[in-house]
Amino acid sequence: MNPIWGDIAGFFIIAMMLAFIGIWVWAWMPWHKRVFNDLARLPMEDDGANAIATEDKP
Amino acid sequence: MSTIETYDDKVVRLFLFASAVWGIIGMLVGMYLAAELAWPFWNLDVPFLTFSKLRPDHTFGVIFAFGGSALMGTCYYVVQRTGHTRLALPRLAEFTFWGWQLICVLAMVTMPLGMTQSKEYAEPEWFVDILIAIVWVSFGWVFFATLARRRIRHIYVANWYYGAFIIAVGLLHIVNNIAIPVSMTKSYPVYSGAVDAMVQWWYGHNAVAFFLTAGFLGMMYYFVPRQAQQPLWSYRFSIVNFWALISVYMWAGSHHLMYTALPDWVQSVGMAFSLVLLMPSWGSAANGLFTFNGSWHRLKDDPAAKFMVMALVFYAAATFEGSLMAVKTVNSLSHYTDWTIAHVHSGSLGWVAMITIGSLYAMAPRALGRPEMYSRKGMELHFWLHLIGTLFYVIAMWAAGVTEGMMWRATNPDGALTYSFLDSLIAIKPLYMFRWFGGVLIWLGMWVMAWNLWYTAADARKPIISPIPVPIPEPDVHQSPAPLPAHG
Repeated sequence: MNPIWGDIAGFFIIAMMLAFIGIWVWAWMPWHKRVFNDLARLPMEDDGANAIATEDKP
Repeated sequence: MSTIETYDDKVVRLFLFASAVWGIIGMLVGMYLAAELAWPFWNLDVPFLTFSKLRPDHTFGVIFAFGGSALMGTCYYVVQRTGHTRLALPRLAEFTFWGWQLICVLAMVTMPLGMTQSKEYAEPEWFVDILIAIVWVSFGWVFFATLARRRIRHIYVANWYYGAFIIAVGLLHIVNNIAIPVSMTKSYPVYSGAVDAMVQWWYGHNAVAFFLTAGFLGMMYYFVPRQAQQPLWSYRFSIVNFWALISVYMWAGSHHLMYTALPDWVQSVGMAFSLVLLMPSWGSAANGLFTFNGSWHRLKDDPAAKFMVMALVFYAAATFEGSLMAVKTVNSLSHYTDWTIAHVHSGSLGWVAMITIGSLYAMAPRALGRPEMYSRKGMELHFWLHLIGTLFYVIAMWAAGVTEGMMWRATNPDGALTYSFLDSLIAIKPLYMFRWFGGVLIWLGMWVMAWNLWYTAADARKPIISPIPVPIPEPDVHQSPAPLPAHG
């Protein structure tokens, strides 16, 4: 096998690791907190009976 | 003129009913097969009743007919609730129901008659495969069209899992089933040799990953917080787990082909990714279990919550076991033994079936216009029948698997095998009987659920239930784009 494939695989692994760390950082950004808290409560709505006012509308 | 938009639960109810029926049929076949393994005379010398011919009916019946119907039904339910919108394309949604039922009947009739590709979990012949592709694309179309008309900007995490399940299963199904038909009932795959094996287990493992894991995690992420009446423990953790799970799972399939003609490095890649996979798997299990913090008292009198908590415990246990079994040295003991059967069933009966049953019990009263299930005692009885049956099943098969592995590798000082294959079969026969008994308990539990659902659906059958209004959020001042108008 051509050794270039080893370099490509190495580059791919590093890129995937960076993407993964990037997702962590993105998810923990403080400005997502309010939206994520609203979303975490979304399933608790009982078919509209106890609808939770979500401020995250289109 | 303003109208009230309501959720479209008709197709949800159809899938709910179908999953209960297919659960009974699929598990009946499994129970019969377990009886054949313990008492072989039960094949009655009828070709289509032999284990080899009936086994695909069991796997297809429980995975695609029972599990598939539950997944599609809950998916249509969840995408409406988490988007505050009515189901898009209701006629196409109904087509997906009847199409899926036709596929299940066709597959389960043709496979015992010998019309099979002999690819595990992908046995149906080309004419069924084409139907599956058509219905699956339609299913995706309805799901993504509904998602597109949601009134909540962010896509709730359950829908990410359902979306990944739909896209990945469609991709896997089409690639694995590329074949050349040579008659109306026979085709040959375009792949051959080790490539065929790798494509098959790329499909086979990811059927576990995206059908039996991602889809049911979608169910879990909606119904667990709902039943616990607690917000999801960590929403941001669920996002990290989602991306980790779907990016790692695709690479683990080669662990099914340890010590085969597959290149050694490909086997090692499968082993490494299987070990990494433990982290996102336990992440989701922990997220679900921690969501019950503050609601543990609900377990005392809510059997649906009991099913969900036990499902998460089995999910954590089965994924740990799966990673362990992918280690080459452990695999040399476990492969081809009943340990694999124990692992599969602790995942399917413990995780998949329990999260499904818990979710169906949570969803059914809402979809059927009742305040709660007809019989709470019936739910309680079902829980204990299912749990005890599952424990009988998996403990018996763990013991059988380790016994087989140890006996098959035992050698005398001169290098000859200590035991014949028949010796190991005689040693595990009592365990096959225990396994059958566990299966009977589980099957009886499914009857209890069907009975309970039937009486819960009394109003829906007449039909006198009122559709549930969609909560339409008040628009912000100068909101752009404007929110969707209500569709009656």
